[in-house]
Amino acid sequence: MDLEERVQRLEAIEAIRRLKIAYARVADDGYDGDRISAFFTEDAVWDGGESFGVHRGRAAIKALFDGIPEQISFALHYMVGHTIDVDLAAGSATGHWYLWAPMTINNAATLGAITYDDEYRNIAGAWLASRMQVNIHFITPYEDGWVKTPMLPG
Amino acid sequence: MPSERTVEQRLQRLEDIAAVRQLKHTYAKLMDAGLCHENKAWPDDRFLALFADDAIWESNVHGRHEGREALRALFAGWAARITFAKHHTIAPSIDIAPSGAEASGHWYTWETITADGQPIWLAATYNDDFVKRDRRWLIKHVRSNIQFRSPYHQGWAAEAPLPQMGA
Repeated sequence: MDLEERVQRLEAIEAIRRLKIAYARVADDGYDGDRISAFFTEDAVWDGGESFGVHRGRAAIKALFDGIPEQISFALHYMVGHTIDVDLAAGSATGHWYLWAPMTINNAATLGAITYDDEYRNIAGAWLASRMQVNIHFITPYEDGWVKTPMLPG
Repeated sequence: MPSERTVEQRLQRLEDIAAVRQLKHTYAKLMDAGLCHENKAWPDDRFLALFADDAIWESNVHGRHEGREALRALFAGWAARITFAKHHTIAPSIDIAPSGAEASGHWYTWETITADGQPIWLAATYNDDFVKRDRRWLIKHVRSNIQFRSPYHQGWAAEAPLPQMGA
């Protein structure tokens, strides 16, 4: 790779890191559906598996997030350890993230341990998420812990 | 990424982002090492040298403290009460100004603390400013927005998640 491509690759990784953290910050700021869906491509998929369902397209993703504050009144998305692989020629990338999330769900302190398998596309110079697969390892009431209650019911 | 800037300038930006990230990590590391040390002599000059002379440290709980001596007094107050701390300071979003001499950054921090002998969770975000002086990045302004500061056994959903900490 020439120097230009090597710098481009580092810039892409930094831009994708910023995208994911921006997603976390908007989620923590009340899950505004318009702002959060703008981080996704028009045809993006947000796949929350059996717990949160599969949501296809920017409009469905907006509706999903607009409904979340009814249950989750407070959340901090700590986006930590990540690996990001970029294919510059294809304008695409994949990423894996760990998420540690203290939350207040239905007025009770709750802890979430989650990982993401993401896909990204470069659209007109901007990196957007085209797929987020949300792998939930536990969402537990703080008072119970993850051995007694690994998955919050409902 | 199309850019008017030279490869050299783009590389400089990436290196500055890395330097600011490491500065914030050093802040967390030296604070935790200092607070945990048995024979406490913290804040020491090495820690305070991370800050510009006219630096400001403020939070929604601790108020505003300006200048290196005010910071020394603020941190000494913490050292008197805190015997253990780990600042897990993560997820930086760092912007380098076009001048290359100023920067701003946002972080999350998840802190495990022992204060007055009691275990505490502290969750906060930082909105910080930095300056580059003599080719070295320094902390110019720390704005800590504490989201909760809760006794370990109580969790953060109770009514008073931010008991007063004093100075």
